[in-house]
Amino acid sequence: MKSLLWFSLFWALSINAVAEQQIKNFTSGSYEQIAKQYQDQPFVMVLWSLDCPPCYKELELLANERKRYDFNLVLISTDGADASIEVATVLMKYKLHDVDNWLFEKSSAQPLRYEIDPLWYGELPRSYLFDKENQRQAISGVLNSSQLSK
Amino acid sequence: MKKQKSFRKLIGLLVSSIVLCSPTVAQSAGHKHSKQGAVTSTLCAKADSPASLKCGRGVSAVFDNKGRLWLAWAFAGHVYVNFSDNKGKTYSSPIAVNKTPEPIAAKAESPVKIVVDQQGKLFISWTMKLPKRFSGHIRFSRSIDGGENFSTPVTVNDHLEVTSHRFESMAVNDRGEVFIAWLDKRDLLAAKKAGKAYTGAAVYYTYSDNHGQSFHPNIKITDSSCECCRTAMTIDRDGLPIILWRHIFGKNTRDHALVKLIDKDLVGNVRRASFDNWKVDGCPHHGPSISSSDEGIYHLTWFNNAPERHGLFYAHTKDKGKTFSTAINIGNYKAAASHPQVLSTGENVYLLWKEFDGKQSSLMTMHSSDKGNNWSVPKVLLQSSSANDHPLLIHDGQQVYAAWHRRGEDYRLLLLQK
Repeated sequence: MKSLLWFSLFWALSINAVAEQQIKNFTSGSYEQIAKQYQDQPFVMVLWSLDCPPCYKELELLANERKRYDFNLVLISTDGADASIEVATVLMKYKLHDVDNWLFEKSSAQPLRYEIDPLWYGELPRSYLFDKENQRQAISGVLNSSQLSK
Repeated sequence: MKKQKSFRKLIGLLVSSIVLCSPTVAQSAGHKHSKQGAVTSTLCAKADSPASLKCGRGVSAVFDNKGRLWLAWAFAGHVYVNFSDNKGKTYSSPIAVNKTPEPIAAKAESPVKIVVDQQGKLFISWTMKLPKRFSGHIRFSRSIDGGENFSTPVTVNDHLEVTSHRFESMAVNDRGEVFIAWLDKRDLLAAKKAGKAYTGAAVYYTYSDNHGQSFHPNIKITDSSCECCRTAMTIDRDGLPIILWRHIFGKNTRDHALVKLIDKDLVGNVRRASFDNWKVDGCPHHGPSISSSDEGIYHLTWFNNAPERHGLFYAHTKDKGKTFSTAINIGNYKAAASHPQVLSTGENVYLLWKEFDGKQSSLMTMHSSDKGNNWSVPKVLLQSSSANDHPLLIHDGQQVYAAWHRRGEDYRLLLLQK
């Protein structure tokens, strides 16, 4: 019993640490910062939210693909800063807390969506596959592994 | 045993204090608040401040047949109702509908609903959040004394397991019969328990034929609706509702479907209403709108984002959904045209939607005076840099108005010209 309780405490502390230290605040200029950070490298940027059932399929797929091979993964939750604990809990569950994680400053903020892509209408999950020339391909809905491995 | 209990208590306290005291996300470099955003968030951040329409969530509006404008909205665990007798210049003090606070899922895509019957009885519905993700109950309350008192809220979904009963739409006919339809995952839950596959959610409805005093058992309309878009309902000439929603056709084609009730207990054929073939295993969070004319023409507007056919669309049907006019694109796809509404009165049809240029949202409208065959050029009604709800079209029996909630700002009611 005691070990279970200690585990719960450890788990709560870990979620708190992820929320506090590993999830960055996505605000105006963050997209530019991400694009600059991965300049000349291929990377996958995925937008997701807690209230999107298919997003969990996407997180599971990404977690599984990362077991097969390493790739640069940027995850951006559109839930808003007040959901940081819940977002951290989901990331821990899918073991995706150690990737480059971001959280929208405000829930579904249209100005932030627009900075990423004026032609993105907020549907989720929304993925961008960047090649090493930083050319991106936008995909709405859950990815499949063949799209990722390209 | 006692020792173990107190130990458990201590751990519980520790865990909850860690979670409660948790700071928000880490700050990144270059974090800037816009001046307006900062003001709005301070104004609307305090949960213990008095209920305010400016900071309310999920605002809906309707006129009664005396021209009084009624609003319903959520604030800090309560649904509030207030009214205006001067077309939105001033408002009455808000009255709480639910005396006991509860978690309310009021968002732009799923606002509180308010409808009023010919006798001035008010009917309010909303979605109550439950502890599990994506779960909720459809709640209902009424006022039979012109908004002075509201009945204790009841849950209208008769399946009470913790799962999704959300995205309700509501309408009342001239006989005072109230219809509520929503997206419901009880069949998904049953399929999961039986180890079977199930796509999407189901659409259910119920009705009251005693002015909202009680509701009949829930009736299923269909399986496999998309699970996170608002549903839409309007009343046909015979007093029975037409319901429109985003459906999943085949594996993952998220087009729209409509149904007309043949009688209060009898569901008509479900008919496909849009043909854009948007194949997406995702959540559009972007539901349709429908309005029925005095002649029985159904006017529809919706959003889709298929590679070949994308943006906002308008079409109408003169035969209850058997055939449709050619869908026309409305709004500027490159300016994020979104969340359309349609309303018809006589031969006039109005469309309303939002666009966005990176900084400002624009409220856009266009009008047809010949039953939706020919349309005016789109016109900007109002611009706003505040976070805002989806706009609404309402009419007072004579004129049509656009109603728009912008967080932290005055509620706007704008008269539309014919």
